[in-house]
Amino acid sequence: MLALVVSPFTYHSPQAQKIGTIFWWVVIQGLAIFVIVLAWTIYNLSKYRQRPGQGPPYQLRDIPKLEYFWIALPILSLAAIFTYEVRIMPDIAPPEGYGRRFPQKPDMTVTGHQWWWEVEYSNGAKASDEIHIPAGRRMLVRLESADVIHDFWVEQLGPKMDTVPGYPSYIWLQADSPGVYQGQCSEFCGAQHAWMLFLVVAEPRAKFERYIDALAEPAPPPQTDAAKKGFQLFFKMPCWRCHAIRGTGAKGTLGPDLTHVGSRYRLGSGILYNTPENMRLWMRDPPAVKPGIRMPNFHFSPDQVNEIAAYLESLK
Amino acid sequence: MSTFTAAVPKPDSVKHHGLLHWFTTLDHKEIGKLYMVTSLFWFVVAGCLALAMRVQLARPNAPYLSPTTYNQTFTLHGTTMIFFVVVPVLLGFSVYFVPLMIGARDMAFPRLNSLGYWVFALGGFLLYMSYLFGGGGPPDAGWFSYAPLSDWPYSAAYGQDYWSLALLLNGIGTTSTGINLIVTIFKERTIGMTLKRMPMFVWMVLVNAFLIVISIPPLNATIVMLEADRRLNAHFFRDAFGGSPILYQHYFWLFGHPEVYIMILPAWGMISELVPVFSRKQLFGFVYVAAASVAIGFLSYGVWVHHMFVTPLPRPMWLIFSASSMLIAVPTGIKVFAWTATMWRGTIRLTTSMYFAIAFVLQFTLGGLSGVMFGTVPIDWQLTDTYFVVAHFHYVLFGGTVFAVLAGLYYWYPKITGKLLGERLGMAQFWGTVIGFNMTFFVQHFLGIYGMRRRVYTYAPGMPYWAPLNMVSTIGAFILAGSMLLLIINIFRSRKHGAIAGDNPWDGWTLEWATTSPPPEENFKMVPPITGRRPLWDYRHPEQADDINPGEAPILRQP
Repeated sequence: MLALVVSPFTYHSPQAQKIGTIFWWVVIQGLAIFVIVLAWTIYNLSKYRQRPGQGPPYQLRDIPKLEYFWIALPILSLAAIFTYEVRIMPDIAPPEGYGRRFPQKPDMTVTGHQWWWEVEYSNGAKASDEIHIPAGRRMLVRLESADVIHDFWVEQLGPKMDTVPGYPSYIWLQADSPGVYQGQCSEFCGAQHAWMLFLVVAEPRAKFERYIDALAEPAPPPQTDAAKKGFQLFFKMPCWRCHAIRGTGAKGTLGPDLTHVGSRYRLGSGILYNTPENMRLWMRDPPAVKPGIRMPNFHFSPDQVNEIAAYLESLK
Repeated sequence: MSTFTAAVPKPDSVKHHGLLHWFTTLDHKEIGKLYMVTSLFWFVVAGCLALAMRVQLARPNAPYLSPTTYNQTFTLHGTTMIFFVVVPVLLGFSVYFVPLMIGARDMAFPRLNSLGYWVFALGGFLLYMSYLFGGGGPPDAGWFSYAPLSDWPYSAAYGQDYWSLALLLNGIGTTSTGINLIVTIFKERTIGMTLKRMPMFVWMVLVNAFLIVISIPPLNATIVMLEADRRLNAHFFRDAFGGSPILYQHYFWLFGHPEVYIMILPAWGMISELVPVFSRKQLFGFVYVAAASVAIGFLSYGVWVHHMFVTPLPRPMWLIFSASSMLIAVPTGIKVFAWTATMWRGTIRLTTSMYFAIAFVLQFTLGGLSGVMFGTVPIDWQLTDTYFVVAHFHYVLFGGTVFAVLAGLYYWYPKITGKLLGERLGMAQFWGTVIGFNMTFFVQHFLGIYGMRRRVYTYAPGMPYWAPLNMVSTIGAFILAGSMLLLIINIFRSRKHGAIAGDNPWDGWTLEWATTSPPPEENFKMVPPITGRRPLWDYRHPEQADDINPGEAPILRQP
């Protein structure tokens, strides 16, 4: 089991820190105004209830000075929020959210698919549903979409940004300290929107370098008998039409790249942890695990399930 | 040979009875009732859909609804509640009470009024026909139906087409009623009823009608473009062919944000009528409230991009729309201030209606303040598309509009039926609704802050506090549903067994209280002199009359 960092109100990046500060500002101002309205209502209700036989009250029409005060108060309060917002915005988001050209080369490109995430690092290494970053360094992420609009959001690390087909967007991704953070698609994108999750793994610089170097390597050849049979099955069945495994002939692009699938923390965009039992569970009937997905049930025999699972788990 | 003009019978020249009466009536009061009853029907249907979703979300990994069914459920819940419940129930109150409040005989165009209702009603049934004929079932791309998800091939079934056609019909009906209301308010006011003397409810309905006429056509245009994309292979919103998915969002929210105010302006009007009556004092700062409504009408067209803060936009755009969105808080603040200041130094009568109005003021304030957070771009980046949004807009739409409609119902039911709604059952319903509503939606603020996204059919166990908070929310939803059952029982029971109301049970001062309950078909035998904003008050309390032109003679006259 992996320990996810899920603690709201503790911030794990400078961007999230800034958002947290302005959040509390607005909450406190809002609560203050609400308490004023609430207190005044309670005061009115306790003091000005009609007593039996009481005639109509004095017909007060207006007190302009009070109106001006009540107009000025929110204007001042909102002006303060807006000024602060203008000041912190450059610290939270890249200078241009929009644009097909961007002055700086992104550290990675993340593409949203129905319903999984494709990650491509600047060295060409590809992974899916799992993003590794060096702790303490600000990474520029380019967001794209292969089909509908998705949204890239790691709550603990800062803001979210849509991935819109044809409109690449940019976001900063940074974690102060090593840890595993949950990311989610937060724009409704169809049947399996709920399980379109990903992980952001922040690790020390050296470990990150080793990770992307290993990720850029082709897949290791199968070693055990079961894995060898699984390898043959992968090409006998139409698996290779949708999935790519670098170093073999499989170059499909419809599904996630499986070159190092065995080294991932989770399967099916976050619905299962990556264990041999879960891999077999997935191969037996993917739509039963995750209803609505594009991968059909191939009706593998129990032996075939074991073999293909053994091969995929060997792809470390 | 008869001429064309002679061939058209005068409104209501043919009388039908029984069921046929409801299909043929041109009386604004009957059409108003039809609007209200139809909305109540769809409210029950969409409420049941909401309960189904709450059951599914009560615990993690619940097996009751499949992802597709869940998506269809929230799509229909949102579409129905917005287009077939909230907007029409407010139109129902408008169509019923605007002619009465301005001393008119009927709406300006009674036939257009009937057409508007029936086209709207057809739209509702067409939407639900998708259950039978939709191919893959009802639409499942959300009430906003963003392209390209709502486009072929991502939503290939006919459900999405039913959605488009239903909203197209709804839009035609709503727009024609909007035009009708504008003309009625400008042309049909009785002698002496100047714009300055119009009741606040009519003011808000006027602003609302302008919003309808200007903002519903963009939605209908968007839907036509979407259908052209889907069925004719056009490419308005397809990026690969030079279209733009972002354009869809611009069009949609150009309609969608004014729509937010269409769903609340008449509700503000109701509160601005009944809080003064139950405080025995005129509305505090009438001119400021009227001006604030007009300001909101204009501002509502300049803020739509705050629904799109997470799409890739140039930074100046984010900031401009952030500033304009925040600005809306100022006129809204004037209104909240006016309602509380009306109670101040009044003599408050705590009827069920007034209880609902007070709950409205507090809950709406809370919903408005959480709205400011979405006008702040960095907070929006963190909280949008989470349950915080769900909590926010339910505080505005349920805690706001629905509570105002309930307050208005307890206030005006005696005028509509001649019988008072039961106060004891009413108080039981009030507490059930307040507790159920806040239990359901207050905890959703925290769910959003803890990272739960909207529109997910299930969630993993082990997320912090998600399971217990969702369970509380579900229990609250059932308490809320129970309280709505009490309301329905009250409505039907009081029609037969309620106390006789009399013409003016609350000692109100606008013109609808100057006629019998229920009003006769011609509305008024006599209209009191309109010497100020509160004709009946002036008539009963000449010593405290708020005359604007003191010279006018206080005599009854025919409308």
